[in-house]
Amino acid sequence: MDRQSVEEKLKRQGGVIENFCPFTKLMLVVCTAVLSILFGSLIYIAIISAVYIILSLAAHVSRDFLKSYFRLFIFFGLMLILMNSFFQSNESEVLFSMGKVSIYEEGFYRGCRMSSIILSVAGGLLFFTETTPIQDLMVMLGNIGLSSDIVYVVVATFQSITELSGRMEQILDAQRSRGIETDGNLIVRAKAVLPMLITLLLSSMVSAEEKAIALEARCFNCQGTRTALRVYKTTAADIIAMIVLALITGGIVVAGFIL
Amino acid sequence: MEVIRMNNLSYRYPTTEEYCLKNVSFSIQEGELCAIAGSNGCGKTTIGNIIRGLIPSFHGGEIEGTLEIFGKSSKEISADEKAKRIGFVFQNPFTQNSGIKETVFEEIAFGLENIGVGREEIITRVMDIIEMLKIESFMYKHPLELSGGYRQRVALASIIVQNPEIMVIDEPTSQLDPKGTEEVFEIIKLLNRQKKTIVLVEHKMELVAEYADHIIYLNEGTVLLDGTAEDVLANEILYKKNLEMPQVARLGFQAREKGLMIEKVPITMDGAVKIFAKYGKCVKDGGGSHGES
Amino acid sequence: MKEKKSNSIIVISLIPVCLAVNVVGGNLASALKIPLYADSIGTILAGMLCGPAIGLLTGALTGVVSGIFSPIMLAYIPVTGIYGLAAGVLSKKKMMVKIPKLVVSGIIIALLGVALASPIIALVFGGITETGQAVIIAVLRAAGFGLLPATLISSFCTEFLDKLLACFICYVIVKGMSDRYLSKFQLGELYMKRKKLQIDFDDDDEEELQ
Repeated sequence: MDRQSVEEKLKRQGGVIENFCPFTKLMLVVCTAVLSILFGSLIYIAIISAVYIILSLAAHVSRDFLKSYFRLFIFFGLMLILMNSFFQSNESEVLFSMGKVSIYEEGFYRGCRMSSIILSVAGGLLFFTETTPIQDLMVMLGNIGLSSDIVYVVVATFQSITELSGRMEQILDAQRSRGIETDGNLIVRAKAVLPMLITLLLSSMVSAEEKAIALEARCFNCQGTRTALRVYKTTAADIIAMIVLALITGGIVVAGFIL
Repeated sequence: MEVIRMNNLSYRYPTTEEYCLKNVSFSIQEGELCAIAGSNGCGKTTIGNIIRGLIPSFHGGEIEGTLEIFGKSSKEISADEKAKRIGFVFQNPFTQNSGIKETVFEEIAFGLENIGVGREEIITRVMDIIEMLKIESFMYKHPLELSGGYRQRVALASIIVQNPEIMVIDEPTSQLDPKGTEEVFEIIKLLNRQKKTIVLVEHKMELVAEYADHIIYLNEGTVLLDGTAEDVLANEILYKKNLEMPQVARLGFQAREKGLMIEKVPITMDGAVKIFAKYGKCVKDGGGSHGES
Repeated sequence: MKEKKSNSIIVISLIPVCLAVNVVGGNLASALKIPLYADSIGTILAGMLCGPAIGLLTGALTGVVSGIFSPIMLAYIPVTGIYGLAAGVLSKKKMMVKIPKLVVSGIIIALLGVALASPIIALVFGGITETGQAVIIAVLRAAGFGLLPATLISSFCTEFLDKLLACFICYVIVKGMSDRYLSKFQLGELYMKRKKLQIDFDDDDEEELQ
C-alpha cells in the first residue's frame, strides 16, 4: 500500500468513451432526440441503431447494452410500428393487404416516427447508464446544485437493492426447492411467499433506523462544506466532444432542410 | 481529568410510562476504559446513547438530571460537535456503513469527507488507520462482500479515523464469532493503549473483566456497583442476586460455599489459575482446607 | 430545529429502502409470473409514514431509479409520483388506519394510476408496454375501441388488484412496527398501538396541579 497506488485506484477506470463526463453523454441523447423528431423514419431507425451498436462496442459495454437495446427494439421498434400500422385514426392509403388485415400508410409512418423518438432517447439513455457509474452522475449533479440529500438517496438505493435482492434470493431459493415456480396455481404461490415477503420488508424498514444512526455517527448531518475523495472534472476532451456533437447535429438538420 | 459526569439522571422512552434509568450518577476519567455492564434490559445501551447524544435528539424522550461532557453541560454541546468528538460503534455489522461507497478505503474516508477534511489529509489518515488496524488485505473490497467480523473492523476504522476523544462502543461483538470478537477487542486494546476514553457497553463478563479499568454495573435502571473490575465483579451482591458475572468468579463463590476458603475471588481465567493453583499445592503437601502455601 | 434534523436523517435512510422495495418487488412479481406490478409498495409506505411531500419524492425517484435500469420507466415518473402523493394525503386524513377506509384508499390510488398512466401508454408509447397489457390493448383496438379507451380499460383490472394488495401489505407492515419506531415519523402516531399524545397530556396535567 503506497500513496501512488491508492491515487491510481481513485481515478476513473475505463476507456476513452466511458471517461467522457456524464453531460457529454447526455448531449448525445439530446442530439439524437432532436434528429429523431425531425427525421423519424424506418431508415432513421436503422441508422441510429447502427450508431448505438458501434458506440457500445467502442465503449466495451456491448454485451449488456445490446441485450437491453434488443429488447427495446422488439417492443418499441417492431411491435410499435406493426400495432400502429394495423389501425388508423384518419383516412389513409392502404400500403399492404392480406385478407382482413391491412397495413395503413398513416399508421405506419406515425409508428415509425414514434419509434424513432423512443429508440433514440431510450437507446441513448441506455448507453449513458451503461457507461456511467451512478456515483459519477450524482456527484456531477451535486456540483451543479442538486441537494446532497437527494444525491445520497439515489446512490444509496443501489446498495439497498443489492442487499434486499440477496435476501430475497435466499427466500426464493428455499421456496424453489419446494417447487414454488412449478407447483400450484397463482394463489398457492402467493400464499407461500407473502408472509416471508412481509417479514423481509418489515425488517428492512426497521433497519433504516440503525442506518440513520450510522450516518449520524459518520457526521452526515454536520454543517459546513463537504470534500470529496474522488474528483470528477469536465475536461477539454468533453468540451470538444460536445461541440463536435452539436456541429454534426446542426449540420444534419440544415442539410435535411435544404434537401 | 474527569471527562464524563452523570448526575441523578432519569430517563423514559417516549412511548412508555416506565422509567428506563433512575437516578444514575457516575464519573468517567479521561483515558480510562469504562465498561457499562449488566444483564439485558438494564439500561446500559440507553446510557451509551445518552452519552453519545442520540438521546434525546434522535430517540426522543425527556431526561431529568444532568450530563456533563468535557466539562460542559451536554445540552450546550452542538450535535455537530458531538458527532465529531464522540465516536459511536454499535452491535449490528450490517447496518453500520455509508451505503454509498464501493471500496473499504472510500468507506473509511466517508466521515472525513462529511467533516470537510482536505483530500490529501483524508488519504493520509485513512492509510494510517488501515495500517494500524491491519485492514490492508481487504482495503479495496466492496463493503457488502465482507463478513460480519471484517465489517465491524471497518466500522471501527471509519469512526476512529475521525479522531474522536471519546469512543462509545455498544456490544460490538454480540453478532460475531469468537475470532471476530478477538479481532475487535485487539482494536479496543489498541485504543486503550493510546489513552482514548472508551465507554464500552458490554454484557459478556469475561471480556469486561479482562479489559475494563472501571466498571459501572447496572441493575434494573439503577447503578448497583461502581468501581474497579475487582471491586465490582468479585462483589458478593452479584452472586447473591444471581446476576451476570464472570464464570470464574461464580466458581470462586461456590468454592467458598463448599468450604474452600480461597484468599480472593478471581475474575479472570489467569487469576483463577493462580488462586486455585495455590490451593492445589496445599492439598498436595497434605495441608488443610485454607489454601495457604 | 434540532427536532427537524433528527427526523430528516431517518427519512433519508428510509427512502433508499423504500425505493429498493419497489424495484425488488417489481422484479419478484415478474420472476414469479404474477400479473401485478408490485412496484409501489415502498412508495405507499413512504407516503403513509412521512406524508405527501416525501411520498411524492419517493414515487418520483422510483421512476428515476427504474429509469436507470430501463429508460422507458422515466416516462412514468408522474404516475409513480402520484401514488406517493396520494398515499400521503390519504394517510394524513386517517384514511389508511383501518381496513374499510384502507380499501377506499386503495381504490382512489388505483383510479389515479389509471387516469395518469393510460395517456402515457397511449400517447407516448402508442399502446405498447413490456407487460401483457399491450396484447389486451391490441385485442380491444381490433374490437373497435380507440387507442385511449383501450388503454384505460386494460389498465383497470391490474391497477385495482395491484394497489389494493399494495395498500394491504403496507398496512400489515406498519402494524408490525413498534410504537417507539413509529414515533420517529411524522404520521407514525396514527398507527401506534398506544397513543403518544395521551401520555404527554397526562404530564401537563400533573404540572398544573403542582
